[in-house]
Amino acid sequence: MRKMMFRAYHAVTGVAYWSERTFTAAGMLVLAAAILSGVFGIDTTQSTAYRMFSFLVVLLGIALVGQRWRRGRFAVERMLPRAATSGESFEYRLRIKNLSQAEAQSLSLRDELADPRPDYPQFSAAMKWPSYRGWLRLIERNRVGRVALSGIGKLAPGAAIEVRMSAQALRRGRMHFTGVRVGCHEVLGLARGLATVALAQNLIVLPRRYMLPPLALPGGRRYQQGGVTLASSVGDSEEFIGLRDYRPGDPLQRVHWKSFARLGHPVVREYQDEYFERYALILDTFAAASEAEAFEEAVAVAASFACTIDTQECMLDLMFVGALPYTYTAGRGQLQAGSLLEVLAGVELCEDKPFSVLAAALAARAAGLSGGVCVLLGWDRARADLIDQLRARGALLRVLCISKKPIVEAPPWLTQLVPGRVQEGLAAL
Amino acid sequence: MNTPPFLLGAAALFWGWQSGFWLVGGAAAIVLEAPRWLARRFEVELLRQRRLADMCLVLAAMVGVGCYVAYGNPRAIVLLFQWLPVILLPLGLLQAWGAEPAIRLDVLFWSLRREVRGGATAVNLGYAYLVFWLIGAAAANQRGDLATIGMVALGCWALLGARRSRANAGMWVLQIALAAGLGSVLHVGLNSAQLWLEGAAPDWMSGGGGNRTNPYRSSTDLGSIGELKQSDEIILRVKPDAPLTGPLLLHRATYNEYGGTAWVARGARFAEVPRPPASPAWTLREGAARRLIEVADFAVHGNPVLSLPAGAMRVTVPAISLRANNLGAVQAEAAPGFLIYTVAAGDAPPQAQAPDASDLKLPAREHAVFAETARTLGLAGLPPFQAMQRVRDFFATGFRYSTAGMAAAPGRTALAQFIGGTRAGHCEYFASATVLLMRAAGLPARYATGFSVQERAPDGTTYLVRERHAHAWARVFVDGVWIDVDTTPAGWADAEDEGRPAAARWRSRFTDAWSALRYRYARWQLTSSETEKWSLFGGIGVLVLAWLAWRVFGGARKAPKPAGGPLLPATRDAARLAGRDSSFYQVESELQRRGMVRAANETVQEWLARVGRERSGFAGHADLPRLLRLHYRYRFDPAGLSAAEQAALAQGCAEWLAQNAAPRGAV
Repeated sequence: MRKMMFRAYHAVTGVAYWSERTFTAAGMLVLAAAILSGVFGIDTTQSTAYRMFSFLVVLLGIALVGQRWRRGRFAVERMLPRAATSGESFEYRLRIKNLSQAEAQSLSLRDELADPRPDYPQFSAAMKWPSYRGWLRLIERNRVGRVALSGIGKLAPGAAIEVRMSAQALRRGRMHFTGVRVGCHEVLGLARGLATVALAQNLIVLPRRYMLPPLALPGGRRYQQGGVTLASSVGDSEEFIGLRDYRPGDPLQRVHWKSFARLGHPVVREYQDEYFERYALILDTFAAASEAEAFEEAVAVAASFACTIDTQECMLDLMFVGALPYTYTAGRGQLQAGSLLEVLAGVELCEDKPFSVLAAALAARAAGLSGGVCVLLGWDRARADLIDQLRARGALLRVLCISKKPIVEAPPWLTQLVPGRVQEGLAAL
Repeated sequence: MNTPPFLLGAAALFWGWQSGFWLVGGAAAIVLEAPRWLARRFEVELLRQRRLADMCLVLAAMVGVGCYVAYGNPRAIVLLFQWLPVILLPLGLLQAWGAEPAIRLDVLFWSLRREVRGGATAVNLGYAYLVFWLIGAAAANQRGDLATIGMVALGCWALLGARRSRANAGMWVLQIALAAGLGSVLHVGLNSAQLWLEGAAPDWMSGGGGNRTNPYRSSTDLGSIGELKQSDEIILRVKPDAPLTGPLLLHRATYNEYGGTAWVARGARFAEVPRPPASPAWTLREGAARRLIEVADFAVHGNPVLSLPAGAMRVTVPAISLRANNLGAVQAEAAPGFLIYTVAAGDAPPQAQAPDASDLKLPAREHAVFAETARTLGLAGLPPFQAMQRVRDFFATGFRYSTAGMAAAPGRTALAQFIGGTRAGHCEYFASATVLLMRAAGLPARYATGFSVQERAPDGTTYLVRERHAHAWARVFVDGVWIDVDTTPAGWADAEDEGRPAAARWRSRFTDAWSALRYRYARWQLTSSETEKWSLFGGIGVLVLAWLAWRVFGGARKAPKPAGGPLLPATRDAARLAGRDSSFYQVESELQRRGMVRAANETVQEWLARVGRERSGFAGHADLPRLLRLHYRYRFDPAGLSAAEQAALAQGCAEWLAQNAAPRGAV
């Protein structure tokens, strides 16, 4: 039954997409009028609406036949920005060239994005009751962006024109462009003949960000055991001091083999110990799918910190659990803040692992952390234990909890942010 | 996408022409097209736009329910669609007179009002509104070609706007002409197909159920397998002038030829029933009436076949005409809805054309069984009344009433199975078998259908006739008169009643209450004067309009805003909404004039603080933050300022200006 409903919804939405692509606004109105008059005029003895229905249906039929002769040939090039931000509008350009021998009139450009219709596993998992309204909601949830239809007047044979397209990024993720449909109106102006140009491209939509007040993250410099690979020249870099005799426990990588050969006993290179500020940006990904709104807020808050914390003088570890525990480090010649945003654009909820996975991943790095920001999706025993452990190791943390429910017995250092009013909460930090 | 000039006005006039309501159509056309000459526009807030849309929805629902109570479906749907453009006129006016070129979709659809994401889509309602005018005109059901031509012409006028280029004008005209031509072929085909289908399909498929009688053909359930399901729906309300002493048969139609499992009225021609001048009643036959029976019939499709007792003489019915066929069926020409008629009846036998050869005909498939049964019963040679009595006795012994249908044995008809095998069946079995047995005995007989009146309503004076009271019996011609012969066992109605499940009984309570409500409304319409009707409908109309006015215009009292009335000219409304008339601007101007220029990156608050630090010469400076807070609230608080707070702001600013007044040019 669910499978049948899925197929029915899929087909109905497919027909709606086809109508939207094929018919102009006037054509859609004629289609709606034909359906209305057809339903109302089903009993031909009660009204003359069936006459209206007949006229409109034939009109649409003629328009559909006519549009088949209105398909031109075009070449299209798309020039996208490097990234877009969720919730923001943006513009990009399409360069279109008429390859046919005839002048193209009344053109419309529709940049096609990947089909947002859910597949059956997603449909089955997300919908307890397979309602059409729920189906539409799922589609909206999958839709990363929206591109407005754009119109061009005429295009001479062989001529090219650059068109500015308006788009809106609806949510973070990957906006996948599949191709461009160039429509050409038929004589009645009800339908458009569509020429499809395949043109696959991706655009990363970064999470939206909030304004943060000037931040002074707590915590001092910490010894970074083993230094930092790829450290830049800024700050305390890994610096060679001299050679000394080997002591048990020294890593093999530090053995200076030439001196070993010359002297006959092991000699190792000695470096200046590195001390600097290293912060963690811990993102909690452990929540049910129903708390997607809070999770999106959490990602937005994490993104706000990622691009606000100055990584010229410190390092920032973005830590979260996805398919695996992940750590991405920015600062001191490693990643840049923009890269962290790109990582955050793809973060998903983790529903198949316990919270302890994050705790274990953090424990391995806790010693080197000066402090950090924890963005949590709730406040329970497991989360409280993790924060207690980190604090016990001397990490100075700013803990933010994104939750609609009031937190019972919240510690004074815990800041609750309510989804929908996050900016207010952040301004009060 | 604006509608071409005068298109909507023409559509409203077209509707007025088709529906006959010229005044309404003309008035609508004037108010819809007037903005073409008048520059005045109104800015209506989103909240009020939504209320206006809700109001139209409520009005449509009320009209729909009212039409349904009065006329039932499909008449109610037709009337609703006919009046829908008038009901939606407020939205049309909003589009025509509003300052906004398009109406947001969330104004029209509740489901979109909860939508937070994305910008609201706005559309021009003009074309959609045109569609409603055209469908409303179509609902008037004027079948002439002029109506079709008018509709096509208006459609083409609208389509002119969809043309993207001036080129291909010839092709455009050609395609429109092709669409009109093929469209007319299609609509003639559709209409013919429906009429053919209705004629060819069984009665149950062509609609109407137990309430609709086809005077030419009666399909039976003979030979059907499974339980015969008849609903509890009340079909008739019968009010005799004296209580009934036994079941009363109300006749609807008679048939004379049996074939397959259907009875057909062969050669039944209808003729007008005469009505004496100045008489409210149609005369079916002359004679003295002994009783009066009032019948209330809810005819969904109009033109009902009347339910009349055997001795019906005169019928008083609010119909255009009355016609009767030679087999005794009487049909009224009346609109769909309740039809309440009074029958004056005497003791005379049923009136119908004298029998002919067809009333003695036995179908070939049934001949052997019924001839054999007649021979076994010894009907041949018996006097007619004795033969009739013997047949009655035959069915009274050994036969029982049953609504359960059983499949006939191979090679046997359903009636043969009934006579010689099961000996159980419903009234159609008994009636059909009686007719054929009488014919086998040499007595002319016909198959009659109608209702058996036997359930008394709670009020004690009215009788309820339900769909399950539909009945069939035989009419036998004896000694020059037709006599009704009902051989179905007497307790058949009780048997049907007992067989009903408990859920059906519960359901029937609600359907009975609904039916009673409709009946009372119909009676009130019939008996009340025009003044009473106008008083009631006018009163309801005034109440609805008052409520609507309160809904649309009354919100201002609830949520006080700087904006005063609901419909203010756009510019004045916008200025007041923005709080640009705040007195604090004068303070700002004075400070600027005195050299304290506000930097581009400074908020007013920071600027005032700097003024306090840098220049201590201004009197009353400490009061400025309070005035600034009031100013901000006046400008940005959706609730605005109360009258007292507005006065305090104005007074505070005036005092500050008075204290710090400096001659022009002084710094």
